[in-house]
Amino acid sequence: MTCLFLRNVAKTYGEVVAAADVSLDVAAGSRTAIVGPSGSGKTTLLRLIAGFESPDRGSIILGADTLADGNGSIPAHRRGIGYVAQEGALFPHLTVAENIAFGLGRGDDREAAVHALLDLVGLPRSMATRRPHELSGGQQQRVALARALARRPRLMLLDEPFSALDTGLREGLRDLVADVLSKAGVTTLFVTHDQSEALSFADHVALMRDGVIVQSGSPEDLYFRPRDAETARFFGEAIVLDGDSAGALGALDATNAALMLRPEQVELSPELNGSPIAARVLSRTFRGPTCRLLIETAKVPSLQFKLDYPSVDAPEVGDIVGLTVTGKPHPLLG
Amino acid sequence: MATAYTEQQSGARLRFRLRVAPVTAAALVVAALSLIPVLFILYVALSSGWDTVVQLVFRPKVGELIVNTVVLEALGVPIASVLAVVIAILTERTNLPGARAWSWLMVAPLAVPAFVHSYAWNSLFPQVHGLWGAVLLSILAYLPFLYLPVAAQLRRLDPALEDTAASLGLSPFKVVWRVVIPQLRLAVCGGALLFGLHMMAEYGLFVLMRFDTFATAIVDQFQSVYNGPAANLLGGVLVLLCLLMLGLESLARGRARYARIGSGAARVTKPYDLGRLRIPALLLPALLAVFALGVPALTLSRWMILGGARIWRLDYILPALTQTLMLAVVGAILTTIAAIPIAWLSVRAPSRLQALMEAGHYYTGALPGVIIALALVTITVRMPIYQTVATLLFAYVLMFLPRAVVGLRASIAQSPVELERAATSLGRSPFKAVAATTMRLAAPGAAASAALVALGIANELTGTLMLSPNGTRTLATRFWAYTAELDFASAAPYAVLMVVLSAPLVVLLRTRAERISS
Repeated sequence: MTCLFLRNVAKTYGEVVAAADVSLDVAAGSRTAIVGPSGSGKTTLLRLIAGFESPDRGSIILGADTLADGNGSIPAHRRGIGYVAQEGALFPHLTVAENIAFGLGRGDDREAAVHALLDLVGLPRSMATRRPHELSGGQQQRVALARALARRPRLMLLDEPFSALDTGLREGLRDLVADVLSKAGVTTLFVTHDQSEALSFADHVALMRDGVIVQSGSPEDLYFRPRDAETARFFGEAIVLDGDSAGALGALDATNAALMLRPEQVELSPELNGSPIAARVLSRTFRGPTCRLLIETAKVPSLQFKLDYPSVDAPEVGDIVGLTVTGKPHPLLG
Repeated sequence: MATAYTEQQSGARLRFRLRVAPVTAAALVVAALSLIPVLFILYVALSSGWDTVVQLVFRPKVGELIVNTVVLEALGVPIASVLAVVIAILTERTNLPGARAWSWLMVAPLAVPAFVHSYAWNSLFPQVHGLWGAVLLSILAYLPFLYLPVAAQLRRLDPALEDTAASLGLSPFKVVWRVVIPQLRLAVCGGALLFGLHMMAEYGLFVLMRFDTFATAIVDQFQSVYNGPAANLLGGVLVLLCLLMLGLESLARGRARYARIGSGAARVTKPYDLGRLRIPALLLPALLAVFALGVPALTLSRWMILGGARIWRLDYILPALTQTLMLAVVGAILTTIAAIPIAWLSVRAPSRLQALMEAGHYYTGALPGVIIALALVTITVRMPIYQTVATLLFAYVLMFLPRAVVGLRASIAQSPVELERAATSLGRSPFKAVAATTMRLAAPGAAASAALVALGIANELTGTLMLSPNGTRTLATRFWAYTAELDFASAAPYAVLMVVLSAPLVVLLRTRAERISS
């Protein structure tokens, strides 16, 4: 079941096109990531859905309600959409409990709600009386999430929710947020510039570039079957073979279209025997568990690419190694 | 392990204390110098004997003055605070037509000295006087002191807070009420303190409004009967009132934090839509502009036309102008330098001693110029600095320290302490680290508060009247002399010059405030 529809949504600020013609369906209960480089328009899209901005064209529909179309736009405070800002945006003049209960009505049992939500996001109840500046970044984000969840929103929007946190903390919080949101059964849309975060956190990913959604689908789709070379490289290391160099990796179909392989599809053996393709190590960078090797194939026209190999027995610079390709290379557009 | 940790901690604390020691010493010197007038009052009180004190202080006239002053403050400060917040929100955050222009007009009355406001109203509407006249004129003259910090704070607010509040179901009106206004507390407190202190110290405005406050009574005592002890004892009561005011402000300020928690990307906020109120809302700033700018403009042009060329006595006017300029510039620089130590301490190393010293810095600003002047006259009368420019400048420093401290404190609070630490770690000595980071970043704020001080000095009246060396005639004293003789026409050119002189300062102040907050 689809929960949120975006149809041909467009928004410009003066000369700047923030969203050109965006259409997107978000399934109920899903976690969708909008990912893209900075300035790609992803935050604008989120703000349009939240109701902080109105689209110039197009329509935004949530469930049975039209939030915005050519006839006007429902203001943010009547949309029932949860929003967590980049650094939490906790109200500095209120305590944690007052922040969490901020959106609750007068009739609600505020204390019980605050306690339940603190439990849910894994914060001790004793924290209720603290002020935002007494919390760490991760704790602030949890309070912000609890505050947004308090109103049981139909849709939750997260704007780069983990970007201000340390890497270690980030992963832990990401798992916790994913867990909390699934338990609450809230459809979630979040914006990030971090492709690995998008791939690991979301079950649906939409890549935005220059105000347009370039490709959307499952994380596997975007990783293994990207639309074009730029998309392929955005989500990770990619070996792009054009028509001429396609033969460099052996008996690959030489088509006119460019092909893409992920480096992990190329298996390296330190000895040449039995491997179909011969190659040489040009450089080697130690990175702890693995070494990053720059490899050049022996066959002309040659091809250079990078591969990670376990450091324990990584080949040295100048060694001749054997390569085997697993899986099919993916054809790219243009 | 635990003891080692504690030792380490107390070691760090000791090092910190040692590091701030020179600054503390400097602040202590300034605070001690600020105490001269109050020590003088104490000395007079003690040397006059208890009976004289009882006789001079516990009398109906003093009770009446206390009631007057308290009622004036109790009416003026809340009204001005509400007005400043409403107008700042209208001009900074709504789609009020011509919001930017209005915002300039709300600061512009600073260019008109308080006693010129009073003179303008007095000659146009003599029926405006007494308590309500005093309240109205105080608001017209001093509202910018509240409006400026509130507007600056509004521009600084993190828009993500308002977005979040809207997503939590709050209508725009409620967002303003529950999220925007509570965060203006620090700005309102600081502004209200300045406003209140000015009301306590103001002399010329209330004389022309025929409303007795401590300040007018003290000058009266001194000038008419040359009753030094009586004036000084009244000053003592005024000092107590001022301390009360400081206590109230620090109580209202609380310990809450107002800085942004995160450094989130600042985006331009969408103005709130006033809807059908868009045009009616114009009435408020328009009324204020007419009262605070239109009335002085009308009065001054009227006297200029009536006076013609006769009133432009350049042989009197030019010397007054140069002397005023010199005093304003030198005084502003000195005052800002004197304010640096306490402003830095209050942000970086707040302590009980620091709070005490800060109170010392503030109270002189609340004293009417005549108290400081009287103290300095009596003290310096047997010294070579008697009736010199040095004494006059010293009086200016004491009078305008609060302006400089308030402005500096706010701008220092904006530069994170981590920068100082980074500079120290890069090999700068603590003093050089502060100079290279915090002082550098606080420079626009320091310039703004220096401008405010210069503005104050250029328009200072009572202290200048009493302390000026022979031959020193500023624009303000000339203006006052003519007004006292009811020669309103001859006074007009001096008023015009004071306004013209102050105008660039207002522009500077407004743009600086804008730059700091953007």
